[in-house]
Amino acid sequence: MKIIIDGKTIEIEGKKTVLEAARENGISIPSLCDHPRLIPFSGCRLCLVQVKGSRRYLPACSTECGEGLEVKTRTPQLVRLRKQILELILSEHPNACLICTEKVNCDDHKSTIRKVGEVTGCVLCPNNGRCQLQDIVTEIGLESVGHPSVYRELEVRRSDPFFDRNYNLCILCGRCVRICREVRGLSTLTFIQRGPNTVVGTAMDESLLRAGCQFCGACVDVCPTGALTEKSMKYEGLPEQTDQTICTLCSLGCLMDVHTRGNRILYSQPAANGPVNDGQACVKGRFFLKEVVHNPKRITRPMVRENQEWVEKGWEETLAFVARKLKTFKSGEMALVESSQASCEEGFVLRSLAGGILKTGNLIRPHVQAPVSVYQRMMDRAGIQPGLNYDAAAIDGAETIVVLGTDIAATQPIIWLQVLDAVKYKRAELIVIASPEFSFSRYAGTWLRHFPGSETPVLTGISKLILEREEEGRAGRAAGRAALAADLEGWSLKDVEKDTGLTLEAIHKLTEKLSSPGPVAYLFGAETASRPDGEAVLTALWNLSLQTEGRLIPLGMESNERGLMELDRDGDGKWTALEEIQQTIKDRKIKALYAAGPIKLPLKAKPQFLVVQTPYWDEMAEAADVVLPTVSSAEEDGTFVNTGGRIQRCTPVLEPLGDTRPGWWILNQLSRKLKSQVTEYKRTSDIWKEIRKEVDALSGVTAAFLKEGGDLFVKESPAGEPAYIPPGQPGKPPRPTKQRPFLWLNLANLDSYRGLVFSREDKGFRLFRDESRALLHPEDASTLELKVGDEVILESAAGNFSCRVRLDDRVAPGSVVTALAPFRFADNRASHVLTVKLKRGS
Amino acid sequence: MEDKAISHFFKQDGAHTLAFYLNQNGYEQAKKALKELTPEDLLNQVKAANLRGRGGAGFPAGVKWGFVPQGGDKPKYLCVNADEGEPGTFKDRYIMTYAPHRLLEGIIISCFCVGINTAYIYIRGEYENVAQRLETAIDEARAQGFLGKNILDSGFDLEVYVHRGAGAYICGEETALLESLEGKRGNPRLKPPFPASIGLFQCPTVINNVETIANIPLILHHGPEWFCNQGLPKDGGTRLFGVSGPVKKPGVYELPVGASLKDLIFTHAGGMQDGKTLKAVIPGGMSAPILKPDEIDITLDGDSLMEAKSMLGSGAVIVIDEDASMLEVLRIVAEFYSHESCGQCTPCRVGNPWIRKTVKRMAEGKGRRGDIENIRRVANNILGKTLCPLGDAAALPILALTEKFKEELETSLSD
Repeated sequence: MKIIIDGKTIEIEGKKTVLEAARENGISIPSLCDHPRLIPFSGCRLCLVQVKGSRRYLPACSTECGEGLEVKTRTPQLVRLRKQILELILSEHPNACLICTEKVNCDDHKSTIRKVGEVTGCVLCPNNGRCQLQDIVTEIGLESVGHPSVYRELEVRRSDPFFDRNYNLCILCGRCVRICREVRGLSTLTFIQRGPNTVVGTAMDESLLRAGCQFCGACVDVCPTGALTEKSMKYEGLPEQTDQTICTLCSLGCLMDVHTRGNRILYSQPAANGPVNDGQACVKGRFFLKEVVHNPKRITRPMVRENQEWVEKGWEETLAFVARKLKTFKSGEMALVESSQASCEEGFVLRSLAGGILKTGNLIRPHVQAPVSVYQRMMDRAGIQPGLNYDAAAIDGAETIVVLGTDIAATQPIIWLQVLDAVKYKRAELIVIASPEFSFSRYAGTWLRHFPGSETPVLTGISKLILEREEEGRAGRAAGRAALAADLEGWSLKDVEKDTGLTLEAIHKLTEKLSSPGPVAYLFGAETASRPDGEAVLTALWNLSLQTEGRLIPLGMESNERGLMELDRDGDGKWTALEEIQQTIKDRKIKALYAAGPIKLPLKAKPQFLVVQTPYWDEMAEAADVVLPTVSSAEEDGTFVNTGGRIQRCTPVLEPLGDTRPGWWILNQLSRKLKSQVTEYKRTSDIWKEIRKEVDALSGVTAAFLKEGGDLFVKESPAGEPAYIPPGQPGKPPRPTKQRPFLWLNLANLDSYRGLVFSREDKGFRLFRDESRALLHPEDASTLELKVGDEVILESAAGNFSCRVRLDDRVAPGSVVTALAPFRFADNRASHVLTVKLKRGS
Repeated sequence: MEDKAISHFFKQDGAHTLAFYLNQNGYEQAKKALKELTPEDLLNQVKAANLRGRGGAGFPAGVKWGFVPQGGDKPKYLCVNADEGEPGTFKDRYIMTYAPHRLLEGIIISCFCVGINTAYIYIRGEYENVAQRLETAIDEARAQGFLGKNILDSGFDLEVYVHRGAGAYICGEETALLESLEGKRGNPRLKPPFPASIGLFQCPTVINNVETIANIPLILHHGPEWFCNQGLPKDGGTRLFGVSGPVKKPGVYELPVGASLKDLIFTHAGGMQDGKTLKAVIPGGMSAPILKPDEIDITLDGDSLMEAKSMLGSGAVIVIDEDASMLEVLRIVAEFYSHESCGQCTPCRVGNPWIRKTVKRMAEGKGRRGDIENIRRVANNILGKTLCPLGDAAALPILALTEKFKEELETSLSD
């Protein structure tokens, strides 16, 4: 279609607004409230244009292009009108600096003092220099403001973590309110009051913490002024450089713009071109990436313990020492630990070191408990190729989305945005099967609250009902139906009711919904898959998915679980369990331990020689004999594979801090000290020459990809014929006992990086999401005489854990919900449902 | 006396009860519509009657109903706008107080015509007793089988709900009303899409004023031709005019569309109190531009008032006498719109308070030369530049007042 803007004929494809069409063709129309991710608001009125045939001026941001539309964007009337509207906007915003005749020279002559209580001009504003209002004033060429300006005299809100809100600078464009509602689905922010008293705030003017804010920072990023500013960069000024890299703080790998000055990160923002995150991030990527890098616990020099004293040494000397020591142990006396947050390169070199040089099979790989690994292993055993790769389309195309047992909005906030988009704008139905009520459950059409840990009977019950009602339906397609039917004979619906606490009617209703035509996506996380009975749950889920046009989507925990899993895929499928190693350490059979990842160690039985490779000074480093400091997230030079199989490069945005090195470099140098024939790797591409040869799934990682990036997924063999997996006979889900009268759910916790627990490091994070919190139903708490903030000891088969009480009536009575970091557990499983006794702490 | 006027039941004892209404052949038209007529017949009759909306904008009701897409899997809704927030307007309160069943009958017929099974009456929060009366009427009607499932064995279902507003003028704007009804902040929506296609809960929605709907049974009863003959060919029927101010008999008067404004004030409302002289008239609620005494020899219909650069609006006639200070009138107008702006778009949110402050300063005797020009400049920046009609509703009276009473206003300015 053709339209005419300012006399210029423009060819347009698809549905577009006048503003979009103009911008794409280099015609600038000033606007403050418009944002590419948001539904037009037409509030600021700066983009008013003249449209032929319309009596009124129309806002370009919400006027759609039609064939032959004739638009004028800069008639003298419009220019005058815009100036006047901008004057009105500026009468509510400190404007002295904006129209100051000296503003051009200001930077040369005035120092910038931002440590002020009130921002009364741009030179005092943290956003000076990256403010869209400043840009618009320049673009429109405003030189004076005809109205006396009004300072709202509102208190600056500083009590919430991560960012401050100064509504004296707000121009009420509503972008923050809209992104919170339209894109993030939270509506934490809203307009309150009306007319001249209108301000942005929360319901009942509560703090953001209390109003349910997830601190994703989306509002901060869309704010055109300095009203919302990140606390930690208030006095920082402008960055010198911006580079892109991926965030490695969870299993998704969001692309981030990292803004740096010198060798320091000032802040990180989600990149608009991020293939997985589409301009969005979560609290970790947005506010914690720099905390992970510039953390006071960082170790910057290799250190060796000499006579109970730590001595800083050079790499050469330290690694030579480690090699010398390791040579004194027999293969069977050594064990290694890896981190699922290590790059593929690091993983590969570590495997070479363990298997090829130290010749030990004692390599602890936490990824074996990751949902994707459990799923893959189970399928492998059944001889099925399900196809593990997935991207946003898998969720986008689903008409029904089932979330099983995971607080997806907290653990996988970016994947949740895809679910939300499907539910909110594409009328997909959300079904939540979980014991606690999660905050995102408000979007669910159905929420099944079953007894904790009884997922298998819930899902198998549904399977049985579908099988019964659909004799020749969709259930008939896959192989192995007879075996399924035979096993399901042994599952009585009466028992299902008893074991799950659900009524048959509720299960029937859900069955109805799942049987309706249209693709179903089943999302599950560590909460179910990583449990000891994870495979049983996944079997039930798999069978159900075959009956309902469904597909299983495993959600991940750590940044490179999938990549490390692919490295191991052609192996013998055996792995050493953490429990075993711990026992052998206790028995003094393991004498040397090389820990390149965090684990729970029996510290009393410390091995003779302990090497810890870590970026941070933690309990394990303190117990070590040698500490080898590695780079952290944004300094990392390596390749990561997200849970959906997308291969991404993490390119360093900084020089390694101090004398730190990438893990692969350390391991390679150590290997060379142990065995001189080992090839030296100068850069990651050297390692890939070998990975490509050895690991077919990752053979797509070419030299060109390493240089330029691109959309690349793990190579998979085409999905094979699906078949039902007989579920066997029903087991007994955990039920409370006299000794341990509560059921304890430990949900997935992704708030740590290489042993650094965010909520322990940062008060703001702790206020928002405390790793050590235990959620209790208020009634249970009152019975136990526990109050908010009290210490409670969880006594269970997995050991005793100290937590802080929080009251939450969304937790089912009789249960206690935590999200303790995986490495707190001796068996390295991410999740548990256990019976537990609650005891007041000291 | 035969029921030939909206105001037929006004001020009669017990007029609001179902028994009274049935005694006056109430619900006969609904019966006829449901049992004998098709929705198409009904739509044609309403179109032929040239019934224009009584809320302010004066859009033909039949045409509006015709915009609602037929079929589709989404439910459709009727919202009766009983927010009646325009200062000076109180006619709908009369209808709902004295003839709630006439309104309900109109709702039944309208819903049947458009294929609607759920209707909401969005009533202003202050009308608490009126809302109660409506609730009672709905209960009575439901008990009698005029509402609910399978009305009068016709197979047609209808539920009517009363929803009370929370005191914002903007919620009388139809899209803000929808937002409010959905439980959200009452901000206006962008148009298009229009409510007829995407309205309440994203479904096709008809929004009509109380008086508009209350006319429907009369159209059916006496025929569209009769209705047209009552008023003007393109603007049929009668209208309720609420006269307020220092007239001898303020109140609601039902006159044919096209009656004389002068007659309304000097004949029906009895002329000015205490021999005072008329100074100005606001002819259609506070947002209508003010008329000077030499401009009131005019007929009360949309077109002729538009010609006089004012508007018929909600038909609320505010009479102003010689004692009134026009600065005070201006202050009240500016105060009101500044307070009632929703805060979404710049010109209205910032411009109106700015005008209010300037007028307040003038009222305090601190006016300065150039104030009136500045007020007019800002008002002109509001007029036609805002997202919803509230901007125009504020700017129009301010522009008219500052133009027509410039000299008087200037006397308050020091240099």
